[in-house]
Amino acid sequence: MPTSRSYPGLRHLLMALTLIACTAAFAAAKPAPKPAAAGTAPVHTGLENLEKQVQEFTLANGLRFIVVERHQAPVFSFFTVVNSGSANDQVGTTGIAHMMEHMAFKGTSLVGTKNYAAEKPLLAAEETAWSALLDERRKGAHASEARLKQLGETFADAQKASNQYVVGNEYTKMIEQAGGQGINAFTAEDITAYFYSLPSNRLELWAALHAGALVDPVFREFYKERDVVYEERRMRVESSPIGRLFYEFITTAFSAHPYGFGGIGYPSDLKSFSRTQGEQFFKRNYVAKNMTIAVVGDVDLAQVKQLAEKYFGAISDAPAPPPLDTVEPEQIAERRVLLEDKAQPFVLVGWHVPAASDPHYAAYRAAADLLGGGEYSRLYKALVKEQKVAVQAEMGVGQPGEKYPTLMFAVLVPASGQDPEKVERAAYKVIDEAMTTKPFTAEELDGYKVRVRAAKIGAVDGNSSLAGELAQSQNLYGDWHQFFREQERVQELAVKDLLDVLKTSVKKSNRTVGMIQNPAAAAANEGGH
Amino acid sequence: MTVRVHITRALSLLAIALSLATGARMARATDVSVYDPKKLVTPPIHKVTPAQPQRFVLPNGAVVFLLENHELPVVSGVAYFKSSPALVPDDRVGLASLAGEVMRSGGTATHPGDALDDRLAAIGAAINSGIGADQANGGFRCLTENTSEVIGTWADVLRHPAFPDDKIELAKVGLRRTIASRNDEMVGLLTRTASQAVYGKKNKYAREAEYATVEPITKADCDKLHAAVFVPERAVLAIYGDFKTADMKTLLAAKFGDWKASGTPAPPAVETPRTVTPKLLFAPKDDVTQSGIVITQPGSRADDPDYASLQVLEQGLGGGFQSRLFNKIRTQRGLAYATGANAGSDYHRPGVFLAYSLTKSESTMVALSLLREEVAKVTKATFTSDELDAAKQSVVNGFVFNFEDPSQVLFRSAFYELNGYPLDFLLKYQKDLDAVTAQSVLEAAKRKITPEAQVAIIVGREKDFDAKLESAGLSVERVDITIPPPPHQGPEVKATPEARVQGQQWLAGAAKLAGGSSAWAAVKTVKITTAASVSIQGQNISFSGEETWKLPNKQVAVQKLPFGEVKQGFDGRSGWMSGMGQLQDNPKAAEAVAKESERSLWRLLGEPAKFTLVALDAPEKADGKDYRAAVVEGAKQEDLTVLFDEGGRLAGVAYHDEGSPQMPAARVQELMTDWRAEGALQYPHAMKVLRDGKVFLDAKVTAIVLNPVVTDDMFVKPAK
Repeated sequence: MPTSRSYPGLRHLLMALTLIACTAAFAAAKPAPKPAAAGTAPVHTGLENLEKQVQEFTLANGLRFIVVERHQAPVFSFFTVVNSGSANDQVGTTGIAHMMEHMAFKGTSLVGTKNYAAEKPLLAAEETAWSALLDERRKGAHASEARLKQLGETFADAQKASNQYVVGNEYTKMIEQAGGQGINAFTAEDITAYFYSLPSNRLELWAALHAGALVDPVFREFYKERDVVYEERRMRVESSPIGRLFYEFITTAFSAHPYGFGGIGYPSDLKSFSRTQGEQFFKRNYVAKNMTIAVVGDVDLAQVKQLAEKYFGAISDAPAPPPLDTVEPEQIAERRVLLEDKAQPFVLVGWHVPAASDPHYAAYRAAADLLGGGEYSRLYKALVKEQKVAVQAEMGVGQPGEKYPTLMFAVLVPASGQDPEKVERAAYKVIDEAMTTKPFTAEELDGYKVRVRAAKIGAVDGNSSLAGELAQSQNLYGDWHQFFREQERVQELAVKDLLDVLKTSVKKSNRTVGMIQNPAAAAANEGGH
Repeated sequence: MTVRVHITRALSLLAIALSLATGARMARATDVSVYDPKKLVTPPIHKVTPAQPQRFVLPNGAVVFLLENHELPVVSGVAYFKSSPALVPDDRVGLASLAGEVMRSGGTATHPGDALDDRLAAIGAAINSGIGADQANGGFRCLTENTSEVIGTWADVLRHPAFPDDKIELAKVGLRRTIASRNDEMVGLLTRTASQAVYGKKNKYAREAEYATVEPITKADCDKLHAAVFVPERAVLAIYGDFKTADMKTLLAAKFGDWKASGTPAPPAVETPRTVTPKLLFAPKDDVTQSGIVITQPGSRADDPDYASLQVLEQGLGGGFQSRLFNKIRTQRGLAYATGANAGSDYHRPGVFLAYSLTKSESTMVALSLLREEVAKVTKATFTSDELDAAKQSVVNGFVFNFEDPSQVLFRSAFYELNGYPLDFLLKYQKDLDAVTAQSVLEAAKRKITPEAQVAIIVGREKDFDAKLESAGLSVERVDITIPPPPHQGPEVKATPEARVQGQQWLAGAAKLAGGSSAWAAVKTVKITTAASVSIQGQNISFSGEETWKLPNKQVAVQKLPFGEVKQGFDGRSGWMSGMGQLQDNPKAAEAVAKESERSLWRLLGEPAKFTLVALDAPEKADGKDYRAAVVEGAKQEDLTVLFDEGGRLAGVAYHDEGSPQMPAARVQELMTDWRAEGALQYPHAMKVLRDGKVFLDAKVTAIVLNPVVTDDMFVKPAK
C-alpha cells in the first residue's frame, strides 16, 4: 500500500507513548452518541450497505455477539472486548488487569497440561509457598534472612514441581498450527481486548479455545509470566526516553483517578501480587455481561449463534462490575514534569476534558484535528512549516482512555537545538489565536467533516479492523450503530462549538506539561558563538 | 415426613429450575470436556477463487495492474519504481529519504506543496511518496468522487516534482532531528548496529545520514535522483477499488501516456557481503534497565531454493508462541518480553538473519548464550516431528491469508513484476512448502546459518551485566556510537563590496606595520625555536620545540616532551611521525600542513593580495579583548578569520578546528604579541592559543633564523 511520509503520524507516535499497546483503542476513539437532530438530512456515507449487513444476538448470560458475514475469502477475524482494563487495577495489585491478558494464553484444564489432576495440587502448593514467602518479606527489616532464603527455595521448587506438567504454549500453538494470524491482545486503561484471525473452517476450534480460556482458565506459569510483564515494563517505560516521559506525565496528570496508575503496574506490585489475586480479578471482571465479541468474515450467522450458545453460554452470568466512582477532581494549578535526560527534547501537554459520553466530546475531537491533525493543521503550519522550531506538532483527544474524563493532548517534537519551552510557548500562541483573533473558519471545519467520512471508510477495510470498531463501539456506547452515526453528529458541528470547548478547557491551571530536557543540548544552545 | 419430602422435592425442583436459569454455572461445575479442541474434526475449507487483476503495458513501458472492487467508495493506488543505494553518493547520504519526502511536501509547479496539503485535507485524500534503498513508491488514496482529480495530481507529483528550496530545508530540519535522536531508543540503535555489522559500515546499504552528508544536499541532487528513478519504463502501477476498468484505462492514458521513456540505464545493483567475521560488538547505552541482544549474519534472497525450508525454520526457531526461542527464553525462564528470529530472506537482495532478545541488564550474558545455543541447535539436529508439524502447518494453514483481501493479489503482482519475480511466485512457494521436511529444514539451516561466523551485538549498561563481555568467548569490539557533530556554522558574513575593501585595507596596513610584504615574501625558509606550555585535561605540560619550514609546505618539527621526543615531517607529498621508538606514516599531515600554511604569517603578510578578506561588522572577542575581524573568503579551513588590534597590527588568526579523537572540535584563536625586529621584518615573539575561549597553549619564541640552508631530505621520512 502507499507508503507513509517520513514522519510517523500521531497514531504511530502514540503507539510509542502508550504504555501497553492500546493502538486499536485509540484508532477506535469515538465521539459521544448524540442522536441526529430531527429533520437533518441523512448523510451519504458510502457505508449504508455495510451497516445493513451487521447482525447481532445476545446469549442468556448477557454476552453480546456482533456478526458481519463477508465471504470474499475463507477466513474470519474476531475481536473480544472485556470492559475492564488497567483503570480497574487497585493499589497493591497494579498491573493485574494487564496480567490477565498474558494469562489468557496459558491454557485450560484440557490444553497446556500433561495431566491436570496431578498439576492442580502442585499449583495450589506453589501458591502456598508464594504466600509464605510474601508474608516473610512483608516483615521488612524484621524479616529473617535465613527464612527468606529457605522460603525462596521452597517457592522455586514448587514452581519446578508444577511446571513438570506444563505443555509450554500448547494453547497458542494450536491457534498457530491452524493458521492463526495476528494472535494478540492489548490492555488499555478502559478495556482488555483479544483478537486474531483464522481460516473459516476453524470457527469451532476458535470457539472451543477462546471460550475454554474464559470458562475454564488455568493460570499456570503465573510467576514466570509476571517476570515477562516486568520485562515489558523495562522495555516500554524504563528503557525508553519517551516511555519514561509519558509515564511521568500521565502519573502526574491524574491525581486521584486510576488513569494515573500508568497502566503497566508499579515495580513493587509486579513483584508482589499473587495468582490468587489474579484469579479474583478474573472472576469479578471476566463475566458475560462485561464482554462483547465481534466476528467478521466467512461465517454463517446461524453457525456462530449455535457455537456461541454451545461454548460461550457457560461464562458466568454474574453482574458486570460497576463503573468506578472516583472522579478526577478539578485541577486548579498547572503541573509540570521536567525529565532531564540524554535524549532529545520532547514535549507533551495535556488538558483535562470530559469522557467520550459527554455531548461536547465531538467538538473537542474536531478542534484537536484542526489544531494538530496533520500537515493542514494550525500547529503544523506554524511550528513546523513556518517557524521550523518543531518537526512534529500534533494534537488528539482520548488518552489515556475515553470511558472516564480524559485528556486532550499535544505532542511537540522540537527541532534540533530548539529550546522545548520555546516550542511549548509557540504552540500556546497558536491555540490562543484560534480562540481569539483567528478563529477557525467554516472551510476548515468542512474539511474535517470530509476527513471523518474518509477515515470511517478506511477503518472498515479489513475483517479485523471492522470487528474491532464494532466491538469497541458497542462496549463504549452500548450500541454498535454509534460507529456509523458519528458522521451525522460531526455534520452538526459549528465553529462556535469548537471555540466553546477550547475556551472551557485550554487554561493554564487545567494543564499538565511533560518535557524532556537535555542539559547538554541546552548548554550547547547557550554557549553558541 | 411428607412435609419434609415435599420440602425436599420442592428444593430439588428449585435447584433444577435454578440450574436451567443458570445453566452456565452448572456446566462449568460439571463438564468442561466439551472444550477439548483436540476432539474436533476440521471441515474442509471453502474454495474461493480470488479476483485476478488485469495487466497491461503502456507504450512507454509502464506496467499497469487494475482491480475493481466496489464494496467501499474508495480508490487507492501505488506506483513502484526501481531504485538503488548506488544512486546516492557517499557525501549525500540522506538524499533518498529527503528527496522522497520533498516530492510530496514540495509538490509541483501546478500543485505547490502547501496548496496540495490543504486541498488533499479538504477532500479527505492522501498522496505519499518515498524513496527506499531498492525501491521507490508513490501512492494515493481518495474517495470515489475525487478519483480523476487525485490521479491527475498523483501523476504530476510522480513526474514533475518541484523540489523547492524551502521544503528541502524543512526536510533537513527533520533529518537533523532524526540524526540527533538516533541513539535515544534501544531498538533503533540495535538494528542500526546489526545492519552495519552485516553489511560493513561503508557498504551502501548500511550508510547512515550524517549532518555533514545532509547539509550539502541541493535541489540539483534531488532532480538528478528523481530523473534516474522515476521513469516510465521502470514503473509498475497498481490501482484498486471503486472504478470502472475502461474509464481508468482512459484516465491513465491521459495522465501518463505522454510520459516519454527515458532510456536511462537501470539503477546498478550493489553487492553485499556473503560472510562476516565472528565477534561481539558492544554499544554502550547507560539509560536503560534492559539490554538489546542480537546475533546476526548475511541472509539470502526469496528466490533461493531454500526459501520455503527457511520460512519453516524461522517459524520453529523464533516465529511465534510455539517457537523454541519464545519457549526457552520467555515462557520457561521469564527472561524476555520480546524474543524471536528472522530467517533473513529478502526479495531485493540477500537479507539479514537475526535472532534477538530484550532482557534485563542482569541477565544479558545468559540470554546471549541461550540465543546462541538455540541458533546453533537448528544447524545440528532436525526439528522433532511435533515441532516440524507446528511450524509447517502454521505456515501452510496461514497461506490463505495471502488472499484475505482482494487488493493483496493486486499489490503483490505489482511488487513481483517490479522485482523480476514470476507472477506465480506465491503458488510455487506453496508447492515448495508442501515438500518441506525436517531434513530439508536442517539442510537449509546448515547451508544458510553458520554459528561459527556470526556477529553478536549487545546494547546496554555494561556495569549491570551478569558476566563480562569476554565470557562469551568472542573477540569484543566496542562500537563508538558518538554522533559526529554538525559541520561548524560560522557567523553570517555579509560580503558587500565595502566590506571587502575594508578587509583588504586592514591586511595591507598590517603588512606595512610588520615590515612590508616584500620583506615577508623574501623569506623562503625559516627555523623557529620555542618554549611552550600546554594545558591538557587540567594538567600543564612544558616543552620546547623547533620547527623548520621550506615554504610554503615542507615542514619538519621536533618537540621535546617530558616523556620523550616526537618528530613530525611532511615532504610536500607525504607525512610521517616518529617517537618512542616508533616510526609511522601520518596520512593526516597533508591536510594539516596545508591548513597551517594557509593561515601562516608568511602567506598572510607576504602575499596579502592573494587573499580576499571580508571585514565583519562585529568585533571578535578573544582572551577578554575585542579585535577587528575579517573573514578569509574561499579559505580551505572553516571560518578562517584574521584579527587586528586597535593600532592596525595583525593580532592573530582564528578558525574552526574539527577536532580529533583526543580533542573535541573547537573554535581556535591564535593571538600574537611581542612583535620584534628580525632582519627586515617584525615577528611576534609570543603566542597564545585558545580553544573555545579557554587558554590552551602559551609559547615564546626563543630563537628565529630566516632563510637558513635546508636540504629536501630533511623533510623526508627517515629510513628507520
